[in-house]
Amino acid sequence: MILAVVIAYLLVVTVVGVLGHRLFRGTGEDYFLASRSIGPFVLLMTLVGTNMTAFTMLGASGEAHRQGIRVFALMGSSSALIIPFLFYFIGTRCWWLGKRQGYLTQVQFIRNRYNSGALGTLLFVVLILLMLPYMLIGVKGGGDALTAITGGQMTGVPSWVGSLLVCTVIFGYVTYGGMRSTAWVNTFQTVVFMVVGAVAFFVIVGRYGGIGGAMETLRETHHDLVVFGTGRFRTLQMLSYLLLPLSIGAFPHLFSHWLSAKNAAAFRSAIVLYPLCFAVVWFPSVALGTIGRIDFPPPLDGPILVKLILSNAGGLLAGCLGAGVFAAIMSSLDSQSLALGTMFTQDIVRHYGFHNKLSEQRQVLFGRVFVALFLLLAFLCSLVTTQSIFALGVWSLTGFAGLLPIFVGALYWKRSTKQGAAAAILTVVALWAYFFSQSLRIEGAYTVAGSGLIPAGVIVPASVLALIIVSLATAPPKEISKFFPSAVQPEPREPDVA
Amino acid sequence: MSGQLKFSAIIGNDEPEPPTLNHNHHPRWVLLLIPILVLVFANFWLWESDSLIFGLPVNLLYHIGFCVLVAAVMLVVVKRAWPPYLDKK
Repeated sequence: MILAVVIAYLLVVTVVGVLGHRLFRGTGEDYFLASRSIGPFVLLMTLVGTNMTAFTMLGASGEAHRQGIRVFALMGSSSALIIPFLFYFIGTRCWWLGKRQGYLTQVQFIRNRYNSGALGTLLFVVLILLMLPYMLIGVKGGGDALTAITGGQMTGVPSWVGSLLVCTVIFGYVTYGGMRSTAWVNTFQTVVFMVVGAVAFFVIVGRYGGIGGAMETLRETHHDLVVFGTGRFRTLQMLSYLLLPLSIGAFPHLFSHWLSAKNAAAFRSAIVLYPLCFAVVWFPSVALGTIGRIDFPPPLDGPILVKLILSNAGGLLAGCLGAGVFAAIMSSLDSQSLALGTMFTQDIVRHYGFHNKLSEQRQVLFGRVFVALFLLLAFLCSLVTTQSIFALGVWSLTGFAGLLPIFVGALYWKRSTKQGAAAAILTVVALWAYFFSQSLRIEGAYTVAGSGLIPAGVIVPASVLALIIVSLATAPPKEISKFFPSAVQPEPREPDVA
Repeated sequence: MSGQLKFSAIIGNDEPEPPTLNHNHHPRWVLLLIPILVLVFANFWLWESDSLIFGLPVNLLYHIGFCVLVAAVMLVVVKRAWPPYLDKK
C-alpha cells in the first residue's frame, strides 16, 4: 500500500511535468527561465516549495524531538521574518536587472557588474561546492524516508531505491520541460506537502486527545520541551539563527525562479504570503516532532515523523506521508539541478567554450546533459555520505549566507569593487573550512567556542567587513550606471490625445 | 478606493499598480522594520513560561502570531513602498 501510494504520486508528478512541456518554445531562455512568464500564484508556490526540503518535514521534526518547540523560532519564524525582505530587496532587483540585461545566472551578473571573468568563475566554483551537499539533502532524504516508511533498515526498501526514484522522476520532467515544468510541478508539490502535513497533524494529535491534551502531557513529563528556557536557548543562538535564512538570497536556484517572474508585481503575493505559508508548513512538523517524545524517547532508529504515523495511522496515511516527503524533496531538488545545469551551460560552456555564441538548441541540449550529470553525481554521493540531513543542511546554508553580502554589494553599493567581492568570497571559504573542520572534532551541533553562536554569526559579518574594507582600499569601478535605477522617478507622460 | 488595502491586488493580480513613491529606489524606512521585527521576534520575556493557550505552548503561539504580523507588515510594504522603477515597462 505504501509503495503503491508513493509510486502513484510520482506518476502524477511526471504527468504534471509533461504537461508543462506542451508550452515549450525550444529556446534557451524558455528552457532555463520559462521565457520569464511565471505569474504570481505559481511564483509564490514555487518559492515556498523550493525552500522546503527533506529537512522541513523530517529534519525539523527530528530536531523538535530533541529540542522541543523552540525549533519553530530557530528555523521557522526566523525564516518567515528574513525571507520576505530578501524577496523585496534582492529578488525584485535581480529580476529587474535580469530582464534588462538578459541574465540567466548569478555568475553572468557578477561578471558583468564587476567586469571580471575570473571573479565570476571563482563564485561559480564556490556556488557549485555549496550546492552539492544541499542537493544531497534531497537525494539522501528521499532514500532514508522510503526506507523508514516501508519498515526500517532491516525489512524496508533499501535507501538507494528511494534515492534513485527521486532522481529518475526529476530527471524526467526537468530535462523534458525545463523551468516551466519545474514550476508547475513545484506548485503541485507545495500543495501536496501542505495538505499532507495538515492531515498527519490532525490524525496524530487526535490520538493524543487533541493538541491541548498532548501539550499538557508534555508539560508534565517533558517540561523543557514546551518552554524556550534560558539555559539551553541562548540569546546568541536565537539571534544568530536569523542569519541562516540569508542564504536564500544567494541560492542559484532562487535566482533562477526570481528571473522567471512575469513582472515585478508577481513578487507582491510571494512577499506577503510567504510568512504564512512557512508557518503552515513548519507548525505541524515541529508540533509532531515534539509530541513524539511522549511515546518515543531518544535515541531513535529512524525519523520521528515516520514512527508517529506508522504507530498512529494506517498504510494509506503512511503512503501519503511518503508522497509528502517526496514532494518536499523534489520541489527543491528539481530547481537545484536545473539551476546547476543552467550555470554549467551559461557560465562555463557558453562563456569559455563558445565565446557567448551557442545556438538555442545546443543551449537546451547542454542544459539537459548537465542536469542529468548532476543528478547522477548527487545519487552516487548519497550512497556514501554519512552526515545527517540536519548537519548537511546547516553547513550548506552557512556558506550561502556568507555569500549574500557580495550580491547585496553588487546590487546596492556602487563603490563595491571586484577586489572587495573576491576578498569576501575568499573570507567565506577560509572561515567555512575552518569551522567545518572544528565541527568534526565534537559531538552534536557546533557553535563558536561553545558560545551558542553558530558559525554564520562570524562568517556573515566577516564577509561584510572584507567587502567593505577591500572595496574602499581599491579603485572605484567605472561605468556602472546601467546596474542601478535612476535616482528620481521619471515624470509621468501626458496621455496621448486621439 | 485607492487608499484601501485590497487583498485581491495581492493574490492573483499581477498588474502593476500606480506608483506610490516619488523617488525610484527601495525606501530606507523599510530597512528599519527589520531590527524592530527582530526585537519582537526575540520574545525573551516569555521564554520560561510554560502556559498553554488554546492548547498550545505560549511561545509557540507567539511565534505563529509573529508570522502573521510579518505578513501584515509586508502587506503594508508592498502597498506603500513599491519602487516605481520595477513596474516601468
